[in-house]
Amino acid sequence: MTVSAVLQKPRKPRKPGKRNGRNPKRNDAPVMVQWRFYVVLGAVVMVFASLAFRAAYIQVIKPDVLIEQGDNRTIRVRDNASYRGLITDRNGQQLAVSVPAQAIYADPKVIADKSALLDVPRWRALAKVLNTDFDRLIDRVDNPAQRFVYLQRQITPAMATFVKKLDIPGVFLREESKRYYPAGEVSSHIVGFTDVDDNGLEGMERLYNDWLTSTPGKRRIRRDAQGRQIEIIEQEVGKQAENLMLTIDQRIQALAFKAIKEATAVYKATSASVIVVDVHSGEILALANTPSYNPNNRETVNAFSVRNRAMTDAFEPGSVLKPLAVLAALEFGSAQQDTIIDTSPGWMRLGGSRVKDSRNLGELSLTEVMKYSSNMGTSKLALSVRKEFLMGMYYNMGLMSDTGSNMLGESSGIFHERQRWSKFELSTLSFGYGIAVTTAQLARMYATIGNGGIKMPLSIIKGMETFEQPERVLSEENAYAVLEMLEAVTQEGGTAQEAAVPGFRVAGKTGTSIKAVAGGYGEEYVNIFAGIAPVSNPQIAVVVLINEPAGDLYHAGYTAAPTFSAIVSGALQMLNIAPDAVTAVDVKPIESEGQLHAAR
Amino acid sequence: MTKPSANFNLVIIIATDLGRHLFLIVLYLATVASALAVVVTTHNNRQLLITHEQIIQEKDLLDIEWRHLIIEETALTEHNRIERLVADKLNMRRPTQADEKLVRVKP
Repeated sequence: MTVSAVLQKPRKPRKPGKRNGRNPKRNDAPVMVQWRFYVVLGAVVMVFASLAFRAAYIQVIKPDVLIEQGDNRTIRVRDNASYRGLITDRNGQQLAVSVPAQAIYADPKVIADKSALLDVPRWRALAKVLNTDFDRLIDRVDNPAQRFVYLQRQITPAMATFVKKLDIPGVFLREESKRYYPAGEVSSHIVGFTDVDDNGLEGMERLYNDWLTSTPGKRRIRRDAQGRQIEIIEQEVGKQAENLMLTIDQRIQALAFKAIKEATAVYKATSASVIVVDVHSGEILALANTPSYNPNNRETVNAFSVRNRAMTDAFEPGSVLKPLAVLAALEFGSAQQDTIIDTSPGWMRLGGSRVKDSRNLGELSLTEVMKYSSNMGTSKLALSVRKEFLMGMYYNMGLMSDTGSNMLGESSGIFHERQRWSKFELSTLSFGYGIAVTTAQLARMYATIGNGGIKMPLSIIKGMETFEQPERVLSEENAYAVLEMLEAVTQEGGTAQEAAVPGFRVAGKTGTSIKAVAGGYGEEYVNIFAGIAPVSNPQIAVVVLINEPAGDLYHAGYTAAPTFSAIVSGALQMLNIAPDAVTAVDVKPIESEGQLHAAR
Repeated sequence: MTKPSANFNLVIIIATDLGRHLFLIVLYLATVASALAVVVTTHNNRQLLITHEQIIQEKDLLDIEWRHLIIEETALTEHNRIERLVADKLNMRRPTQADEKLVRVKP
């Protein structure tokens, strides 16, 4: 049945006046409308065909323009927030934290296009909140050729809200981050700082910049009319920032910094450094220097206060190296633990020079050589061994190489290797002249003695693999023998009784050396005290260096030693190490558990 | 066209026609069901994505708050500050050797 047949269906009643002799059932009216029918049909087909063509044109032949238009309205790229990694101490206390901040920037072209500068009150308000001069602010943005000018970086959230409400055309906010150092000047030499763009400039921030840096992840999304994300088109995962855990114990660090800061002021010193090392692992528990700086406010920072002196500055250490002469003699076999050395008459001539003690000390045991810091004694011991062996000892104790901590600007000391050594030069080497070492190198040397002769590389990052392996450089017996000898220094009659710590057996050695200047030795002193505690179970090695004390006290026994004592007593308490001095320990074995709570 | 032959029952015709093409009906129904399922899934998917975005935003805000709290905490608990405060306000001091009693528990 065709369409025309349907159209024919409503048959009109035959008109009465019509007569043509044909079958009355047949209707002849369709003949008249046939062409009209085709016109209408054609029109309808045309309408649909053009619609179909248009649809095909839009969808198949040239869809790109409209897709782009649609995407412009719905597709957005969103950044996933990412911040620089945290730096924490060994107990997880944060030493560097990034927080979001905002930057204000201007687009001078937009400002010019929208004549935004005419709205003077708003610009005055902006100048006021930015704390700048109104005219200078206008100067900076009144240049339509530019497209980007920072007005201020790292503003506070309150300022950001204010600027947003000012709503000046062409002035925008941008997300960025600001780095805070909660510990301030206490840890600044270790942690370092970053610049305004989050690049590390000093300390760990610089050394581990790549490790700490993150790149933000991006995701392309489709959003609906209300701005909600309804489809994630693609995701780009950024580099996650890693956190950094230091071996520093912030409690000891704070204590050590406070102690040397006080010492610097009291002894009117130019600078001071302290380093506390765990003897068994070589981990640096504290490292502080004065003068220090506040990394949160860098306008006040001077170049000289940024230097990490404990690592970078080498000094002639003086008597602090004397234990090495004893160790060399013991290891070489030219002296036994009960050897007696005759130092009378208190001086001797070596080549053209004199080596002398402050007075004639007579016959001394090795312990007494350390106790009274006899130059004669150590010279004789040093000269009793082969010089290659002596040099080897200095090298093995790490006085001529890096400490392994890999810190920025680390110095490996100053030592002139040569073929020929005069006896006088060997003798001065034995009491710490003719070689310059850093505070960190000294700490490593004493840590090696405290560790029973096994040399560990110093480390500052928790869990970091070191290139250097632990190495036995002394026999255990000799290391502990010298440790016991050094205990005498802090006891009655020793050179550093002020280094004693109540309740603990402490071993150590003073060093008061005269600083070399061009052409000889000057009038400034370096005071060093290096020690190990507790003697019966060594845990920490501490070196305190006070540079150029200008007050009445300039002997290490009166400057560095009391500072050492203050730091060690606090540190041992914080590390919860039991007192080992016989006089202090009131050993009362308890029978019942009930008494335990009253113990501390 | 005679009268008896014109006696069609439309319903019956449709029914027999459908009966002949059962498979097509099943396909048709399956298509409709699948279309509806697509609608429902898309809707659910969008809801989940919206929630996901909200949660991410919430996480970012919490992270920012956490960072601010860390700074506040570390600034307030700085060791030298605490030491000064307890000395000044609470009249406390570090225990000296004399205050300490060492107790060794027998193993």
